[in-house]
Amino acid sequence: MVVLGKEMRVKVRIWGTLRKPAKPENVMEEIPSGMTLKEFLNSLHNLIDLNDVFFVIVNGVRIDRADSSKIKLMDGDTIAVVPVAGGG
Amino acid sequence: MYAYCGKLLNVDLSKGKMWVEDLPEDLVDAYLGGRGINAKLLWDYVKPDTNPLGPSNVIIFGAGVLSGTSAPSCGRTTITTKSPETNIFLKTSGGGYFAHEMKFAGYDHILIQGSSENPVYLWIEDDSAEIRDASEVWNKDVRETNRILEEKLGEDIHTACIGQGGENLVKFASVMVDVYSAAARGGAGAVMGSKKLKAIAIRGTGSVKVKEPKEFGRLVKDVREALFRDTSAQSLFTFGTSGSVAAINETYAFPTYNYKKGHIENVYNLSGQCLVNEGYLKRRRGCGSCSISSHRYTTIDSGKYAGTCTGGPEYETLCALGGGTGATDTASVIKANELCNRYGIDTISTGSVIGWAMECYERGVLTKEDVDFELNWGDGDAVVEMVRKIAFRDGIGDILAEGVKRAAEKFGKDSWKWAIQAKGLEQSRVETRASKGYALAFAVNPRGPDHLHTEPIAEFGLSPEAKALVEKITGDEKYANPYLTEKRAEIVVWHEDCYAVTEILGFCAFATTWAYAVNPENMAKMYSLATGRELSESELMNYGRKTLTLEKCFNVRAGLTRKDDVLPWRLMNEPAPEGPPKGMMNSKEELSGMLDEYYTLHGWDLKTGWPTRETLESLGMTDIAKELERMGKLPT
Repeated sequence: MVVLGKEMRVKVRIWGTLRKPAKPENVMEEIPSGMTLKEFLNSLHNLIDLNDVFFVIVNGVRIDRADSSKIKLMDGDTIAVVPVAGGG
Repeated sequence: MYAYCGKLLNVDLSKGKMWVEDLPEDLVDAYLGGRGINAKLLWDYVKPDTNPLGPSNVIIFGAGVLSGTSAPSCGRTTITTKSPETNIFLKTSGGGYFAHEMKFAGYDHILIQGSSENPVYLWIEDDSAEIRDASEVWNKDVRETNRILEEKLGEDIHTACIGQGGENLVKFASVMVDVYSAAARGGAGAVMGSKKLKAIAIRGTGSVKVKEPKEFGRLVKDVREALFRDTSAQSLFTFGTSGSVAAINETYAFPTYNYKKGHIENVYNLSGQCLVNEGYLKRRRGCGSCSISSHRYTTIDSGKYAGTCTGGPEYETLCALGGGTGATDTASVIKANELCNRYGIDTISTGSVIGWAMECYERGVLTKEDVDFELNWGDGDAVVEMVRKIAFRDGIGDILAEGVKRAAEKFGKDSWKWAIQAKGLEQSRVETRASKGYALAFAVNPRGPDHLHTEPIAEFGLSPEAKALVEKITGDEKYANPYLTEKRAEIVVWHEDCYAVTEILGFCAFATTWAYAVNPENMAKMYSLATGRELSESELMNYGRKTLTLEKCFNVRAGLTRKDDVLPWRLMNEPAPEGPPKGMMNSKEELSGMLDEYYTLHGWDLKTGWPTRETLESLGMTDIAKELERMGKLPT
């Protein structure tokens, strides 16, 4: 259970963005309870180019970045930042 | 004719003869070109009882109508034949510069029939074409074959050839176009091997004339600039198709361990990011007139596999030879890819049969005595060795070279349940349990469960362009959701039409159904300006519909019905094991509902899945309807 005001831990894997790819490491981050996905992404500004195009995947579900301010992160969440890519 | 050469080169290997005929105007009117005309020629030449590996089968090379012009990313050659792996329709496609060179030499299509007694290759230089002895290159791999042919004929030739896989009639042997581009699926390489046709080498010094060069040039410039701006095209340039590994694995839709799992640890080693960061990627290659350059060229500079160099690896290869077998050491996957390309065998099917064999080994259906060595999940060296055994039909490789369906029949027990195939073709690496549009597209694909006949990736809504396309097709962007079954039929049929048009004209599907900068509207304009034959967007898309319908009719004539439009047993009966897709399945009921909608949209009979007379006549295919009626294959 998340208790408001306490810190919680999320797992982060940053693959970077299209113009700034990165080698992902599994990192546990402590973040304030109640933090939104958008706030969390903004906190990564040193690691990713926020103006670039990338996917955000929370617990295996791709989140539209337009919705990121509505998503409240939960203790134990896994967040992946992945460059847009595709093809078969 | 503008844009067209107006010529069809015929080759009869049994008689040792070649002759050129004018491309019949009514054939162009009926099926336009490229994949469309290929399909009609196959329909005319190959009958249901034709042995795919006998002299009566034909193999047809079709250059895109706009290949050889400056149209962007328009260098695809369609290869059409009857598949020895599935015994049904096969269309496969290669890139490189072969299509351009065919056009520069003066041919829209090359049709090869008969079989030679001794190994031969075709040498085509403009008007001159000859059948030459190939004993010097027989038994040679694809790279060596090309090196020798270039020494003899010049470095500026372009080729389509087979390796030992095709010579040994591996049922999923590929035709390798310009060394690195694999026309891989369904065994067109084995058809060449059965004809003792090692290669086609071609040099053309002519040019392709367009009707309205200034307007055409302006439009091409606009389309090319749109491609440069397209995010998806940029990502294909930066990471290649391998860039999608990370996102797909993160969403638990990356089929691993023979589709037992949807995710793998250490996936970084299989990712496009790894290829770039760790120095494997040496350069990016574009096919003729390409503005994307998604193709990779990688090497291994140190360690056990030092000296390896190959085109790729692509997403499908990394997933099939890597994830599918649990092997995550980058070097062994690149090495296995290199060998597949050298021997000329399909990386998707090769990875699939090896993954299947590993599961057999785990379950005790296969033993160490059967295999000659341990075959445990994740053993990349075993994968590399198994590639060689398959290409040379050595030991168990002889059975695996028949494809997973026949191998399962041979080894029996329940192994057919984890043979990831339908219609006899190994499914390409899409978790169809969690992407319903792909599930439908794969089930109805005339060549089997595969993404390169219809690529409805728009259903994921990954980009604003993809969402806009889904809205255009369905009326609402909310249908850009791969978990929905609703509106999948509409999305699939649009993509079928578009994909067929793409390959009629010679474009790459990455430019039309992953990036969307080349679209039916500007393709119709490019066609009209280049040829002087005015076509609207809907008229052009109708040619796509006709082509797909004729390919379907080829299978109907061969005896296929609705019951064949299925997916691999595991995906229809075992739920996805983990992550958000957990519990999802391609159940018979779910698929049946989508099939009803799909057949209805096409105007096909719901009971048999066959096109009706009315549908065929409305498409201008009365001749096809008559033949099907004569054979009792028209719905009553």
